[in-house]
Amino acid sequence: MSIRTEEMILNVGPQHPSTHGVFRLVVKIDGEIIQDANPVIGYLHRGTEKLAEDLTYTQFIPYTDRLDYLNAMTNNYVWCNTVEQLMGIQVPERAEYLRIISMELNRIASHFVWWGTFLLDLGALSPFLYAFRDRETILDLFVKLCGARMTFSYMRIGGVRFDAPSGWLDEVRKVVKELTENIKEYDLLVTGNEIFQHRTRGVGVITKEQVIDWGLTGPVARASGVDFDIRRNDPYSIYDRFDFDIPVRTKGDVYAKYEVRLEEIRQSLRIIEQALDQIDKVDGPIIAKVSKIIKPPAGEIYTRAEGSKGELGIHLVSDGTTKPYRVKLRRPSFVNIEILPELLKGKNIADLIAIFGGIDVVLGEVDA
Amino acid sequence: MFGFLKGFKLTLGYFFKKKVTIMYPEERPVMAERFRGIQRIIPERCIVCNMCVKACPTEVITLTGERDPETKKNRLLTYNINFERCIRCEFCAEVCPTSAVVFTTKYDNLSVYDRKALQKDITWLSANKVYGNYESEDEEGRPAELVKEAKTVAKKPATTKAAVTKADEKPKTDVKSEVITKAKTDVKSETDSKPEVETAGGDDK
Amino acid sequence: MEISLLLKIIYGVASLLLLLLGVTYAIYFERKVIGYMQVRYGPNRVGPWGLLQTVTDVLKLLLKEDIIPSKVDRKVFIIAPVIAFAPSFMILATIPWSENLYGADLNIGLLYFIGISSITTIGILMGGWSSNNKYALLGAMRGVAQMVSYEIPLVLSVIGVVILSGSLNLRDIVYAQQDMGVWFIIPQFLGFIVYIISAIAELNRSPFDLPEAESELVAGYHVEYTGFRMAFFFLSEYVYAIAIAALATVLFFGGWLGPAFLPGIIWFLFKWSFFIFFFFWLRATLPRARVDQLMTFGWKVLIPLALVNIVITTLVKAWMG
Repeated sequence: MSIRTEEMILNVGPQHPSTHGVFRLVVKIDGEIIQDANPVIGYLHRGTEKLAEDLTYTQFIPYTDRLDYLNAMTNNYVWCNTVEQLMGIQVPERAEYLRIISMELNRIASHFVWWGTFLLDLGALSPFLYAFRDRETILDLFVKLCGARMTFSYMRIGGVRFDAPSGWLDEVRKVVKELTENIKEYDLLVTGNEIFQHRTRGVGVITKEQVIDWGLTGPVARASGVDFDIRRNDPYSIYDRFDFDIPVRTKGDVYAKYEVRLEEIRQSLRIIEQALDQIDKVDGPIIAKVSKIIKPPAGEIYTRAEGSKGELGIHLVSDGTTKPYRVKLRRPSFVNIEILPELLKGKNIADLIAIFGGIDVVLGEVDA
Repeated sequence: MFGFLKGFKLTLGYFFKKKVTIMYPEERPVMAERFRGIQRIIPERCIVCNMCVKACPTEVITLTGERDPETKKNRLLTYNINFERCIRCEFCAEVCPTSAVVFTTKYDNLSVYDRKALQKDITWLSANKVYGNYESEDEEGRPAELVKEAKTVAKKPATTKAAVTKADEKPKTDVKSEVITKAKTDVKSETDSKPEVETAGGDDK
Repeated sequence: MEISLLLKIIYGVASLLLLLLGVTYAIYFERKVIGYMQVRYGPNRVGPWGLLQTVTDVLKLLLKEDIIPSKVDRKVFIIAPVIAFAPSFMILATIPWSENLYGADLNIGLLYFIGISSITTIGILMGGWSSNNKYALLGAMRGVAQMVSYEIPLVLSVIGVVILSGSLNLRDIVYAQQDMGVWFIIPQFLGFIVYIISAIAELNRSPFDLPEAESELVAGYHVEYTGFRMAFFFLSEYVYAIAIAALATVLFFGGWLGPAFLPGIIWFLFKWSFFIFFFFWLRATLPRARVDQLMTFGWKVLIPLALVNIVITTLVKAWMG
């Protein structure tokens, strides 16, 4: 005779230590196998796109900070780039270098947070502290540059707000050297660890076809063999002046995503070193001559950039006034999270946390 | 097979290294100069142009002013900032043409027990004379050490940190960009920028 | 008659208080050691160097409201923490802390130790079942499965020591190490490795602490317990840690043996604290293992290793005569 089993509905919180924000996943399990998983989002929705219709273009910059709050420089950049391209403004060179340095530093800081919290979910307590200690050195740099540690509002339409204070570029050089050394410790502590490898190898495999079907971008896509990075395929700003590799893996499991992100940190450090060498020869204004009242011509435009989670894009419709008509934000975490129901079907519930951590979701971005 | 043993050496090594904890509140971190702390209002400089009110993305500033009949200049009467909604973006200080709104590096005097106490008025805001971790001695909010330095090197106007920071707080977003480029922090180009910045700041649009 | 009974009661209460003091400072040292390994200080505000931190934490737990949900099985719910805690205290009676300092000199000391410590799993299962909460039950069943399946390698790994020393009496085992001139860790190295790994799994400590991890999916068996009842579960876990470390010291490291310039108890405490430090070190360094990987490891790797150890020890003993 067969055993009567029942499906159990489990609620992975809105309040849960591992969901990186207020995210709810309603999971139907049968024993240990997940039958169905439904993400419920909206707990952090603040109506950013609607608010944009009532703010001027410069006033919207602090709102872009708060989308993916761990990667605020790139968000600022995409917005400013969108408006600049619509208005045809040419950003001065020194501003472009400062933008690149701050965006890459921010990418490193965001990947540190991911590393620390991913391993905290898996049960290792120490990497969290090491990652945040390293992140503090980067945030100290940012305080000296623009006055804030997380929501920078550093870029303006046409350039950046502040030039680097005296001595800042040398400090960045020192920090880059320090971080290149510290990252070797991460490999010692975690990458070779058998327990970690058993938990992440072969877990949560995303195939290349799934990536292209669902439109996933960022390290999630590059870990499955899709060799696409906007910095190289569709270069924006002055990324074509730098020499860096794009890490790609083919397995598509959580371990591949882990390797891709660690390698991205190393490549970002390389870009910053090259930018530091090149910025010393460039002197000039840090903001273009833009009128105080910003009125782009009527039209629409979509630009994108490579955030730390994937392709971050803004579609702007302007009607010629000082306030945008419609702003649509293409947020990478929102698109990446859509694969969860299909990915989790049939998997073990013990792998849920590792799979979800590997996708690297920030709820500020999912809910906008 | 034994890769996890390398991690043990690392954590044991950290057991003996120096710790990074700061024992707050006995030790406090020294904030950088550009840190966006709490605002400070210097009412004498305000010309009631309402730029800060218009620039604020969250609409937290309200002010009233009156026109002084003798000197024919505007005078600030009340100035309120609603700190429940202020997002510390520094737009108000950026657009103020006379540096009447400046950002200090104080960050710890906004703890209150009642939400209504977060509506701060002009008396509270003009009393925030803290710059870095120091109490300031002059009315511009600079620490005493930097004021002495400024007095002794008065011949070379812009080699002090304080003067440079004041130039940093100027508005940056319009035709004054060529002035701004010279008012940078590298010392060599600073010879005649300070007087230019002063005069260009008075009358806006 | 009454005096000796009174004395026995006083000894019992005094040793319980001493044990609680030991647990208090074991918790404090865990937080300090893990903090130091994570480039930060541990607790250092409450009392000088934070020494009173655990005292205030326990006080907080004791002062909390005692909530018993309405649909639980009341008798089982109330008894479960007691059954989880009492065996942990009972097994400390047989451990010889030094040559003259021991609770009871049982001839079957080792068997008593391992047997009584298994009763705790019943307490955990009772706690999970009576909570009337499917997540608590899942967590309890997983925890019990883990503890039961790691009992077997634990027992098998100490059989090598029993064969070498010829007795189950813990004091005789230490005397045997003294006679042999070498501590049992050297001939029984494989057994020691198996013992340490299965001990960590028995104790539900990291990296094998899936049943009670907060960041994993299903909450542990003590999710419905509040206040001092939860304190009992935690207390039992720490007392077990102390007891297992003490047993390891006796079996593999020579108990109170050491050069004569320090008394035996100091040597015992020194070796024992090294073990406790090792448990904390493990917790700070390793991530958590998944539960099915844990079970596979226990059944397919540790048990064969322990059996191999027994075979080798028997052959060596038979050859040496």
